[in-house]
Amino acid sequence: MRRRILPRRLGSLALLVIVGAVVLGPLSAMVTTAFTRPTQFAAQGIGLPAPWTSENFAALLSDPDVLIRPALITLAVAGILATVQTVTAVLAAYVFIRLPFRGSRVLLALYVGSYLAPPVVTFLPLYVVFARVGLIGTFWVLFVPFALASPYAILLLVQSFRSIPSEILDAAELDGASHGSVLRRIVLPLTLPTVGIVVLVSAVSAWNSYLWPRLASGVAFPQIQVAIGALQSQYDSNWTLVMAGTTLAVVPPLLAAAVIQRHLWRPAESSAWTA
Amino acid sequence: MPRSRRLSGTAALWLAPSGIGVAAFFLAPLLVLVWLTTQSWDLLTPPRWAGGANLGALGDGAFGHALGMTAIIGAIALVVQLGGGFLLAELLMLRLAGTRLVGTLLLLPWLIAPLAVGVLARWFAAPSDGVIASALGRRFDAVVDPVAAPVLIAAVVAWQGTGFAALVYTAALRAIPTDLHRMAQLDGLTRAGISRRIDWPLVAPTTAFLGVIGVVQAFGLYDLIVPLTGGGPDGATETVAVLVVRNAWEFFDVGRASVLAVGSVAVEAVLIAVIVLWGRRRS
Repeated sequence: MRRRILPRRLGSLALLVIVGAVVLGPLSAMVTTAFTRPTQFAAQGIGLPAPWTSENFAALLSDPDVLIRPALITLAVAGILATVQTVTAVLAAYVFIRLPFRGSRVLLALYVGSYLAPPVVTFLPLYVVFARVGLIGTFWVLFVPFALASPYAILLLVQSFRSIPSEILDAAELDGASHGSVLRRIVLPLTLPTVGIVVLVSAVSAWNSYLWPRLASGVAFPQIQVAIGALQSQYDSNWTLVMAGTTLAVVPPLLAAAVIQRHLWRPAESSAWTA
Repeated sequence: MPRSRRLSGTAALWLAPSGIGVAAFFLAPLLVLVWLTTQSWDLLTPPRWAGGANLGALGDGAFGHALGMTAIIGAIALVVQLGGGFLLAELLMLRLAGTRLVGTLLLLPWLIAPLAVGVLARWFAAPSDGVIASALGRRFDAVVDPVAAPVLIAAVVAWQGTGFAALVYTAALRAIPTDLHRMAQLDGLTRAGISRRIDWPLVAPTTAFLGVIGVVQAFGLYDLIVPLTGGGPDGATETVAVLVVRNAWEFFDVGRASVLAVGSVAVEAVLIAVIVLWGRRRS
């Protein structure tokens, strides 16, 4: 057995190094370039900054309209979407699991189906209708079409709620607990990691969205990705500046990932007690 | 499990928000889209009835080309995502040291905005001061090369999605009973043989699921392409999503764009149906 330990060590190191290089290589190139002086970058291209400078970030942040305002707008949209989508998804998922009715499976399939259609297919008619009622170019249009239903969130929560043994919930109902208190006191505490993932995924996808924000309110209320897209076309090949902006746009989802990370492996572990 | 019954008051109330959301912002827009296919409209002057005149959009070369490009990019990316993801998942299952760290690393690209990834990739592929050109030591412009450009896009899509596929495969592999592996070992199968002959067939439903996600992503492929190639050179990397957006918001031909959108949904639906049926037969 001892002979097998060394290859295992080497194998795990190799896997870590390769995955690390492929994933972190491009990201670290982005970050180091963001901290490089434009003159140094022009002279020698990619490389370690000497000296490290924050001038690219300072240039971007000096005018609040370039990135700060788009970031605040996006944070507001992400906060609204994460909150409302999670609440409506929790309620819907509870109905699909605990209060199924004739046709509820078809309805769930319809929810999932709406997730499969390419976004542009609904964006075109949505744009036309919102233009008709004069909402294009407003803050509202950024979140109104997506707040009420997130098929992804509903599906994830349905699967999570299904893993709770129904005897526990039946017993609570026999004791006279209302659906509201079963949801609040039993279902939510048991599925908290998944609910957390739903909140974060909603917020991250709002932060990352580009096409609808650009079409619907790209000039008046630009979201962060719209601002980054504009930055690239405006400062074409001014890579230190563009990479500084891209770094700022990439950081929040990665911070979110650091929060998710601890819970990511939990659903698999917690599924043990259902067995 | 509660038995199916009639829709109760609580159920109706709790389902109302998401139901209204799906009805108002998905189903109703689809109806509007179908109506738009019959209109001639530039978004400025009032729409006019066009009957079936817009249907010609499906017959001209642009739609076929965009479908082909979507298929090529999607297929290359999907093969890398499924193959690489399955291989990585098998490696993660060996429970080597640092498995959790690798798992976290794998998720990072999936969390970054496709637009930001596209900007980053554009710099990598920049003709003279880009990373690829620096590595080659000469000027190289992948974005104006009609062969290299789609391959570059597919590589970037795969970079974003392979780690996610690996994590989904890991969950599927965990569900395989260890007894099955022990029996196979007794029968003399090597670890690689177990992977190929036992694990791969057993995770077919997961492969089908990831295949559906890959198709959905290919037909929505837009954010990444705008900063990377802009659909160029000369429309060479125009996917169906880019084509629809261009027709509506650049050429202001809403009727044509709607026909193209409906056409691409139809093709996508057929592909998804085929994958789902394949997955059902294998499970």
